[in-house]
Amino acid sequence: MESKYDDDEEEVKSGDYGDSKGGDEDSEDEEAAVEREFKALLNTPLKGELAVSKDPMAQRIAEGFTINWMNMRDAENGEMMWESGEWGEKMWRKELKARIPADILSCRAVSREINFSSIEKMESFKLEQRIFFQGVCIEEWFFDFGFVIPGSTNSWQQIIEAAEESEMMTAEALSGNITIETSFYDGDYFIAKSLVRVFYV
Amino acid sequence: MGLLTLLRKLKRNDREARLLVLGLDNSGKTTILKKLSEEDITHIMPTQGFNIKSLMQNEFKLNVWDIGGQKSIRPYWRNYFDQTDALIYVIDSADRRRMEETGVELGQLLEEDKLAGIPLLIFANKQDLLNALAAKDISKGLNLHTIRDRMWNIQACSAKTGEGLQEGMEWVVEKIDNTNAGAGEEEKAA
Ligand SMILES: Nc1nc2c(ncn2[C@@H]2O[C@H](COP(=O)(O)OP(=O)(O)OP(=O)(O)O)[C@@H](O)[C@H]2O)c(=O)[nH]1
Ligand SMILES: [Mg+2]
Repeated sequence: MESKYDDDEEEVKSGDYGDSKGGDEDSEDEEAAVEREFKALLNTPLKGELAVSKDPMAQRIAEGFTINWMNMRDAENGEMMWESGEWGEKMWRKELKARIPADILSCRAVSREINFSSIEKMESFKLEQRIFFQGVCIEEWFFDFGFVIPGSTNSWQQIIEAAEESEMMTAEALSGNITIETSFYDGDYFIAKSLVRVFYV
Repeated sequence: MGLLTLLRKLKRNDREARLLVLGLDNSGKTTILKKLSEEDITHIMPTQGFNIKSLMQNEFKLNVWDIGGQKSIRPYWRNYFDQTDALIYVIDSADRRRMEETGVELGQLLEEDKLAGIPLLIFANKQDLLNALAAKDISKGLNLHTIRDRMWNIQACSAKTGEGLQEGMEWVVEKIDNTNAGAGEEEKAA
């Protein structure tokens, strides 16, 4: 796993990013496979490569789907910790870097929000989000949205309680090693994916 | 204050609950939810689809669905009725001109099979405005007393000041908590 640490030394703050529950069922092989797959993912242009569907309707849906922005907040006081800004096409092509104040790790609860638009109607829209630490999945979220209105702009905000103090890792250990991967599907059809690598600064 | 604080008080049973927030456009649905999370409410745009908040506390997951209220979006509301545990209906108390329209929409929601019997909270929002109708006048105007098939409550509030929001949400969460927790009352006493 290539790690991209920031050059500048930062004050170390304790904390963890959400609850860590992974690892238990990962055999060595699986882990390696996941890591390989993940690395491959990072190094390929996303759009096209992952458009698994040949179904014309699914393709239309994918083409009409845009992730507009993401943000993270301290969920206790609503304070913005990070905003992606407008992504447009950029998000398809590369991993995004989020530089987030390390203070977020000491938040009792964190909010992550993602905003997206769809030109086409969808019947069973869903999302899978995985948080990776050094390529190993440590947290997983699934969300079924169901129906998506044609021409709509929508948002999903998740508010997550932080892990117990004892389970926390330091900002230094986490920085550059955490990736948030969010994949969108309509039923079984893959629509889009975003990858954000998190740096705690 | 806030939804998180409320969740922390819940009985810890492993489940998921879904709240549906509806009401005419401009009634303040999105503002209410943002205010409950202490977020900035000065740049809120009309909702062109849905906004979902998923809160997780221990094993309890609360999903709050806020759907846009513009006329063109209302026909899609029914796509979001499934599995709803409580309905929150928001009214702009100062919009006297559209009081009848909001009453009609509410009446239709109450007829929906998929929403039958679930608790109903009505937020009489924008109480900070001078020309706002009092909750009891809205109650009278919309004949809320004729609602007999479910628990309901009307709460005066202002998403701008935050007044009344917590009380309203507490009522809702308590109702869904009690509906689903069964033997919960004894636990509380212990
Ligand atoms: N004075 C006052 N203004 C409010 C209050 N709540 C909301 N507003 C304003 O009312 C307008 C509409 O608020 P929204 O939260 O976007 O309303 P909405 O119900 O989500 O509207 P749609 O998304 O179109 O369905 C905004 O300009 C808010 O600032 C309130 O309690 N008092
Ligand atoms: Mg709205």
